[in-house]
Amino acid sequence: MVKPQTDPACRLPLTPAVFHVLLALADGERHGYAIMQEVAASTGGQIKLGPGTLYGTVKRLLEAQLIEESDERPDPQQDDERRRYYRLTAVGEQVVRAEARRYAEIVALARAKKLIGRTALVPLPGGGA
Amino acid sequence: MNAPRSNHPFRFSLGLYRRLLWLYPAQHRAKYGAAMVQLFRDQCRDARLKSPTWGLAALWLRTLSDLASTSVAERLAALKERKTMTDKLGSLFAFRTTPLTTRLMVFIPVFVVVFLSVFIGSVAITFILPETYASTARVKIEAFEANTAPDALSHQVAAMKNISSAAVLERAIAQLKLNEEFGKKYYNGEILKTSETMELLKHQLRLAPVQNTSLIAITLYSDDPEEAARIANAVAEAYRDIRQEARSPSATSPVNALAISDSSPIIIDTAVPERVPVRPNKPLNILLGAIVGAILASAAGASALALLLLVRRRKSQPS
Repeated sequence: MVKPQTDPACRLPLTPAVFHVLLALADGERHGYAIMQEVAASTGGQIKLGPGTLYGTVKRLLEAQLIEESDERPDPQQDDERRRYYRLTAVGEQVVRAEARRYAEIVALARAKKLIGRTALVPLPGGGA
Repeated sequence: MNAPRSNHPFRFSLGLYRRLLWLYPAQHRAKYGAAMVQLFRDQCRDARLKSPTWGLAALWLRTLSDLASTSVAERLAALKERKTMTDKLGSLFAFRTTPLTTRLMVFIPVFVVVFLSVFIGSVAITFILPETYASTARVKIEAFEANTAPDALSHQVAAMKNISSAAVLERAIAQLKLNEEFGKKYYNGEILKTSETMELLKHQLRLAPVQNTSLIAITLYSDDPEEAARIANAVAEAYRDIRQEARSPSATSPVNALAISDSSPIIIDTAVPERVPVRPNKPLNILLGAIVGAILASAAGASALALLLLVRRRKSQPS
């Protein structure tokens, strides 16, 4: 049976670039450069998105309606008006939650098999909390 | 006056990136081109702050890889949007409409990406390689003793043996305190034995006769132009002094150890620190990078065309 497109599970698994971009937008809307910085910080610099990769991913996420362009603009004096801001759609939020749960289940499974311990889940460098 | 000069690589990078954006399909460029340039500008600024010297070079290496992979992916996606992939690849070689344009659309992006990758890689490597400077002192060999040097060439050969002899090099080493200096430079401050310093010095020293003259060129190679000139002059002076002492009737060993085939040398040219390194040869390396890049890029472009032609032929064959 073909699952409807609205089912987040039918969009999984996500590629690492897509997952990280969606995670970056989970905190709120961001422009391209801010997304790139957030991804680099949360992965300890392991993933550095170039302009081509970032906007290719953004394009596909827009087409899949997982993100949308935001009309709200910050104070023009504090920002470059040429920047485009993006935010998660409701579907996008469901998809990133589903993917995060999938990862959590995999981690739980690995832990049950004693492949990793609790210390394996320390936050990545620069990843905040 | 300094600011515009330091901004030049930054502006050049932005201009080049803008031009490279045409590797992407027109639709993608129109929608995301400005944002991509904006992001690249931000990355350039970050790269310069992180490392003023190599930041932009490192960013370009990453960006070229990003351009190569994503521009091809976007072009394939654009082809897919209109027809199936196979239909579109076939139509590229049908040459029904604008044959030259369609061929160039395949060839040029591949050519540009491969050429720039090779060229920028060679430029980056050229500027990463350590620089070596050479300084040359020239010594004129005066009258020689016919019994030990039957002709001018063997006289010069004998003179070169004397210049590279232990007596001359030991004197130059002692004069410049090279045991300490080389120890600091190469062995974390440990004072070297004279024999060890002499081995190092011999690796840096090149002697050559100057054709049709009675001159010997004493060339010293070093990563420091001042040091190269200083040592070359010290070797020349040590040789001259020892030769003069050898001519004195009261001279004793080790000066006499220099078999008398030359005498009364005169230093014609003292070595001066050179501003331009002899290695790497930057203009030559950059030229070679451009030539090799053009050859490889042409081959890659031709291979891409041949691959698409093969796809078209397979498609046109009845199943």
